[in-house]
Amino acid sequence: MSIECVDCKAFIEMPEDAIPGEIVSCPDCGLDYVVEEDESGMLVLKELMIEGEDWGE
Amino acid sequence: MTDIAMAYDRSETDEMGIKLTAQEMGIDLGYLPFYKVAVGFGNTGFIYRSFGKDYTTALKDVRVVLNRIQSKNRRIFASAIFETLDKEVLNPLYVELACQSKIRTLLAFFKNGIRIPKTVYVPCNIQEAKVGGGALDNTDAISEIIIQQLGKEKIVIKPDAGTHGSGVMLAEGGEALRNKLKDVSPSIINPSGVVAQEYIPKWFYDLRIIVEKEKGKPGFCHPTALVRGGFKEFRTNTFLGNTVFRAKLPAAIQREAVRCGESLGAEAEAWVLALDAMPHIGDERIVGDEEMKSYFDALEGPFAEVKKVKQNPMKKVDFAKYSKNIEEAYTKYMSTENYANIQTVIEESLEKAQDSILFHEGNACPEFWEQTRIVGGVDVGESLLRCAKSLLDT
Repeated sequence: MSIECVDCKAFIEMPEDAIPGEIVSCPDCGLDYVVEEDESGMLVLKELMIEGEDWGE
Repeated sequence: MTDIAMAYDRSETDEMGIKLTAQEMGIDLGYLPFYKVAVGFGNTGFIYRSFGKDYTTALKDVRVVLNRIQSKNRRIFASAIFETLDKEVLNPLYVELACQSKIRTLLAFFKNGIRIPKTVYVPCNIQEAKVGGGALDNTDAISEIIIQQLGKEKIVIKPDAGTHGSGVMLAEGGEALRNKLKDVSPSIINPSGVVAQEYIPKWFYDLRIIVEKEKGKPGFCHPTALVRGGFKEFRTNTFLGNTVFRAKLPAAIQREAVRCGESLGAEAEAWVLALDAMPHIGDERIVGDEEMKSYFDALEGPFAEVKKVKQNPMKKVDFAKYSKNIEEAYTKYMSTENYANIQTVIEESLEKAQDSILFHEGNACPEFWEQTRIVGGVDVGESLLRCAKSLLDT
């Protein structure tokens, strides 16, 4: 399974031995995704949200 | 790579919106990641790459960088790096530096005679480690210095480089001030000392005003602004439960806002800034608080519908659809009678208070795609791209 990175549009491959909670990074821009199990038990990649102390205006 | 590129650490709806606007304006906008990348420099040259992709060559062709990095500290590093490589950066490094710190922003305004809230900076930290162990507690000394300058009725304490209202506290009375000061410690958003400010009786709202300068043109203030308002919190930030409106800006406020932009922009050829300002209303309220609160209560339902759309976890995956949905939700909210009632009161009170507006903050990378663009009526994405294009002109 692969998804398109939401930030740079590169393809990110889900590792074959991925487990829920694992972090997968986009090879091109470094954005992090977390492996999660959806309602049907399938593994999916979701963007990992970071709490930034000096982020945003 | 293209002439104009946008750098960011993590895209939000604003950066997705800038990309969409660039498409609509026919601008080929490049992308520079600024997160898990190596920015390497030494006697052998310069390199800019992620683990899997080299951006060094692409960066060479870029002439203007839109700096949309979310982290304030990271954004300053980025501007310094790109300017070192002779790129034009929007906003330039010294504009970023001026906006990063509330003290530096206020000093720039003060120097140019712009009305600001009376501000006191005490360089000393609340706690200091003593040689040999233990700590020196400076709470009493610092609170006495602040009270001597600002009185003790209502004092606002804020981190020098905070965002979203975090760490902003209102102290009423000396005891409250001492208690609040105990929570102030050096951090990434407040590197050193204590910033205190007089409390401005702004009634129930403040303003976010957008100013810009294209190369070769004078500074310009957009004629409408985003108003953040409510009675829930003295901090009007919408993250804290307040809501938003559009207001026409009286000419006097527009002129003063341009002066603020010029104070922060200094000699830069182009800049785009969001300014935060407060009206000094005091007791000059044109409608009673209870009546206003009833309008706000009635607006909660329509605004909750907007919040529901905002919570869509797929917003970045199908951004065009999300944008359409959020526009519809805000438009519905803005068409309600209670919205119109509050907007009328804001605009009438602004007319009266136009000569007593106080400016207190400049933002070099404002959030805008939802509230400022749809409600405030100013598309900062268009401003950024227009100003970036102007920098390409020789």
